[in-house]
Amino acid sequence: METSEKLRILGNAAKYDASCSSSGSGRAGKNGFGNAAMAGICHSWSADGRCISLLKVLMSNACVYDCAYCVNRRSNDCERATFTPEELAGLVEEFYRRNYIEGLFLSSGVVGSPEYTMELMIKALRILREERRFYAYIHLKVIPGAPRELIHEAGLLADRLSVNIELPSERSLGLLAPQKHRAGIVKPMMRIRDEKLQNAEERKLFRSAPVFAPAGQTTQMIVGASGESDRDILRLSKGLYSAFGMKRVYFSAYMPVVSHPLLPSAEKPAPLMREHRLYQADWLMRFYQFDAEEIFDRSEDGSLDSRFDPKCAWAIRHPEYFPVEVNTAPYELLLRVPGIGVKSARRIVRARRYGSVTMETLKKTGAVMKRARYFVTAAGSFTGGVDPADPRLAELLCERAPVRQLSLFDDIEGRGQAVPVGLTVSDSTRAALADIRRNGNALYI
Amino acid sequence: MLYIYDGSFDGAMSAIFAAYNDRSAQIVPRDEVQTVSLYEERFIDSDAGRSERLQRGLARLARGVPERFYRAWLSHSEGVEDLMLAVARIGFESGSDPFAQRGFDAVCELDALAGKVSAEQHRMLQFVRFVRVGPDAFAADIEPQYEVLPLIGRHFHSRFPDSHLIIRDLPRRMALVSEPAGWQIVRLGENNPPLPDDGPFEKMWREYYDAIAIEGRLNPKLQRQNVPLKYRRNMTEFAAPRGGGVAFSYPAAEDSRGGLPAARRNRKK
Repeated sequence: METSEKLRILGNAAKYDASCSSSGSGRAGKNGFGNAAMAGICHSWSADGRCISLLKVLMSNACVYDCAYCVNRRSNDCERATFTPEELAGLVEEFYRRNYIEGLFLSSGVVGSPEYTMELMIKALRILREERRFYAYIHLKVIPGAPRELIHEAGLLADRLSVNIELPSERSLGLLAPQKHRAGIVKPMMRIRDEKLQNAEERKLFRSAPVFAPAGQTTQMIVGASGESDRDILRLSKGLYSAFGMKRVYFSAYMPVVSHPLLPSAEKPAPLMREHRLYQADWLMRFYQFDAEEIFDRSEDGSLDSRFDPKCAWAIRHPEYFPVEVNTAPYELLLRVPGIGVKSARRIVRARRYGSVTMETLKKTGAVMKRARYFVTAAGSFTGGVDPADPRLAELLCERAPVRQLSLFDDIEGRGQAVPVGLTVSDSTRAALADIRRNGNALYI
Repeated sequence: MLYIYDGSFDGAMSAIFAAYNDRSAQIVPRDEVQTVSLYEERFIDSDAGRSERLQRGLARLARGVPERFYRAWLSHSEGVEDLMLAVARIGFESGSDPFAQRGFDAVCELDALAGKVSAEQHRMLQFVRFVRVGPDAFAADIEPQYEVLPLIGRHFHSRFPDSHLIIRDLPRRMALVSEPAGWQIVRLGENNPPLPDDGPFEKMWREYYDAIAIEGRLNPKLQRQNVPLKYRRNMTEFAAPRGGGVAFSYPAAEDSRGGLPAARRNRKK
């Protein structure tokens, strides 16, 4: 089979992996080419709006496993291909030299056994690093059940390693991926963590010791294929961050690729809004000092509200903190204001050293006033128009689904709820709300 | 008074230096001078020493201030020199980081310009697409809005230290030339032949690009936000295959545009 044919098949088969990040490594080469930019570089965006940073391919899609949610499962009737290590290495170099890609993301179906598959992938990495002297970013997917020596070898060649947790609970795993076991997934994660710790110690003694997976490890789970709630998912990701020092936990909205009695039907749209809200909540935990439990406090069913981003939802549930005076509030509290992000919070803290921060200044810090104005005072003035505890606030902040998503046959659930549920608003209130939205600058008394 | 400088960054800094105490100063590069001016004019010679002194003074206010001036200046947008002068005054008068003082409009405007240039610099790191023109030679064309070539030289040189690269900024008729020994910006001549066809890898990249999109998640609006249409003309995965044609030749190295401005020299230390 031609290389171009294999690339088409194995690129197509790899597209359901969410991660494409090329950040976290500053690798620089000697006597070769390629390097890794600390912040990562995306080189293109495909028609689905997802970035293309790394050449994301499978080593092979001739998988012996039969996981129900996966396109490459053994019982699926599709084209199969396997790269030779030389072929793959050559392709990566040619693409990289043309600045198409930032590096390689190599995953694989299980060919024969996890050991054999890992050996094949490591061989391709060796050719790249040692023969071709390629020092760009490499993300290697560790096959569940891989032995520890191979993980050690892989970590010395790759920048980032990842083991997919696939499904958020052991029960779901047993139902949908009967050949994968919790231990086969968790053990490699522990191994990577321990190797990294040990490597850090070694590098304290010998600065020239080779680095083990400088960009750390990540994982991914499928959302919407099994019954776990958002709360279960975020608790699990919190655990993954703290127990394994994960750099990222990726969520992948389940795309119905196959029909299976245990899976959502193929007609049901992928829960893209749910995935989006989970990422927002994940960001709150990683950059906004929120705890997983706070995101769900006072929530009954443990699911994220599709009408608001989780930070807005938290603020609406906690009027007791608001409005916040931007001139005196501590940084941590500024971070809790909807519409104020890490960048604008930092700018506010810096700007108030030089004088009082007014609504004008606040705007210039890049804060999104559309949301922030309901929750802040600047030098005593408040332009929100509605008290933070006012129940009408929820209606004002509610995100409407874009018009193009509406259709007669829309299944509301799973589409981000175009119609706000649980809020029945009379016409007179609606008029009053429109008025507030228009004249939001009137001082609220 | 209208202060006219030679169009170089050192020249702009020299003009700011000269105009610092003149409250009615306006600074323009030579090629933007209108034929009839209502102001008194003064031509400022580019003075590397003064430029460096001013940059050192700015660097004392906060780290990265001269770098941000340089980036904003690369936008060559009308009035940028006047903004630089205003922001320099804000910094020196308060004795602290001017870019922290976001209450001043000039600060926000200059910072926004620097931000736009930096954003386009990053876009070029993303979107430059090389064509192989020799065993170890690669060429690319770009049409950026701002003059970003001086900002991307270091990146491409350190990434491909074993190759000969040329990136042509077509509208400005300038090119970045990177070779194992170093990199420089050169001026291009009148005739710049189109890039040749690049064989099977272009085709494979296009096919891969199409294969990687998930049909169930198509989102052209998001795609457009991240890859604006204006850049797509020079990107392999969007542009139509080239026809080949005129032979591509490497430009002569003696077209050198002279040394780099002081801002770059400082950064290397």
